[in-house]
Amino acid sequence: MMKEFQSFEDVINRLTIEEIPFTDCKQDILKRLNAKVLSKRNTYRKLCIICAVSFTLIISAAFTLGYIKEHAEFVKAHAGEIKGKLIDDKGNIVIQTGVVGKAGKYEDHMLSSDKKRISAEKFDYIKKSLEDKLSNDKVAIFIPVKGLEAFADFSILNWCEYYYTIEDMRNYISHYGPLPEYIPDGFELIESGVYYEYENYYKPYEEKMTHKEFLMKQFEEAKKNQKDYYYKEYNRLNEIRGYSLEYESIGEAQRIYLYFKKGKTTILHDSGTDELTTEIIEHNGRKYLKDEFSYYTYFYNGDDLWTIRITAGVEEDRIFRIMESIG
Amino acid sequence: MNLVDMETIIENYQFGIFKYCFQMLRSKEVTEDITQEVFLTYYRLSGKKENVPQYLYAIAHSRCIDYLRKEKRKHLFIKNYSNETYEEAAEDSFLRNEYSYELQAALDTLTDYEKSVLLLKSVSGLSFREISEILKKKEPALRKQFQRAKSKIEKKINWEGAKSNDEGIPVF
Repeated sequence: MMKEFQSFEDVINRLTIEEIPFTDCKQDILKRLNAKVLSKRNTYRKLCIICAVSFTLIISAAFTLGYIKEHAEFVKAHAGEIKGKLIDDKGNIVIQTGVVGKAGKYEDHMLSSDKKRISAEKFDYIKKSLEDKLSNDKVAIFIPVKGLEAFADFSILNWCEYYYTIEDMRNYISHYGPLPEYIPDGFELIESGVYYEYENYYKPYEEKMTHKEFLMKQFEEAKKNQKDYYYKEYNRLNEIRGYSLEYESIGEAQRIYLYFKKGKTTILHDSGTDELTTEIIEHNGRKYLKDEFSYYTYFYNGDDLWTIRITAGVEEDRIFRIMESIG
Repeated sequence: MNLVDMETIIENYQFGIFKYCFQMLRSKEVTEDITQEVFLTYYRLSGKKENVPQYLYAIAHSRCIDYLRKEKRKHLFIKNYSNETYEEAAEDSFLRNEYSYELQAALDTLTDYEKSVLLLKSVSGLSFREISEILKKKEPALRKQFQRAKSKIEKKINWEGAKSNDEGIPVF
């Protein structure tokens, strides 16, 4: 009997022309979507709150995740004010949270969110193309320039690798640190990321200017030279700096965002207010620092300190349960 | 995004997503469920009108991989505790559908990711740039994965061919 496939091309041809048992599910999908739209109206208010939290999260994460080796300099660079501290059993400050002072505010220099969105869309393709060309041992600073009057945004290309299933993440991250064993029912992983350490591009300038001034300077120079964008490569290191997990509830606008960072953490919120209420909570023998946006705690993996931040639109007891399932 | 836009998106992409999922999973019922979930998730997570196919395929890929992993774990469990039953069931299903055995055997040599790259490239007709957006992997890595998939299938075809010639009996 003749073999069905003589070559790779035969296999592909077969797959291409293969008859599949297709069922048109359009009406079922639309019916389910209609039900979702009705339920969405009821959760609109909740969505607004979560969006506000997420926006603040993005702003503050941008500062926290930027390469600032010494926290004191980081705080100084953003004219920050620390509002709360979490101290471990050995008496060390492990997590501190505060607000950005007026001189450190990026928001003042940012475009309105609409213009920023347009700019982001315009530069998205360029950023992706540049990122595709980067090898795994490099990161790059990218600052959009063309069409912008002032410095609006910056990105570190290739410093994060994304994973979309918890199994992938578990396979990858198990050498470095733990993941939560408990996530409330009805939540699914949307995205997870592994963040790498990279060369401190700001170090040669840290005596002369703040991090923001450094970025603005690159923007101005690129604009003067009529460049479309500023781009410069630096070395990416093998060590990881942290990892994140983002879950979303099915059918409801609730999110759980977890960020694990190796070493101490300083968070400065740029949320448009200088006020930030913080408190220390103890639950089942574990200490938490809580501010208006997140809960923070820590653990030691051998000698390594890990700090964890969770921002979640779920009840406090479920937040504790998630945190206690880690490690 | 309103439901009229969504209806157009479903009309335009439903078949492609269904075919991709079916060829990944080889189960009509599961494919129907996952296809519905893909569009519901797309609606829930995105107001995007650009890069719609990439976004849909990314969700479909993620759902298929999740499903395959769950199934593998389930089969491992069944195999450990009920070895004979599982082997028999697998044998039966191949006998019932002999025609697809050769294709299935070739595809079974691939990892789930390799299969996904192969299907997106060769059947869905997407470029490596588009696939890199879907799978969040760099283009050179995808090219390598595609080459590896091709080599594995060629090796399987040649090996089965050689086996067939040596033994003088039909393999498939």
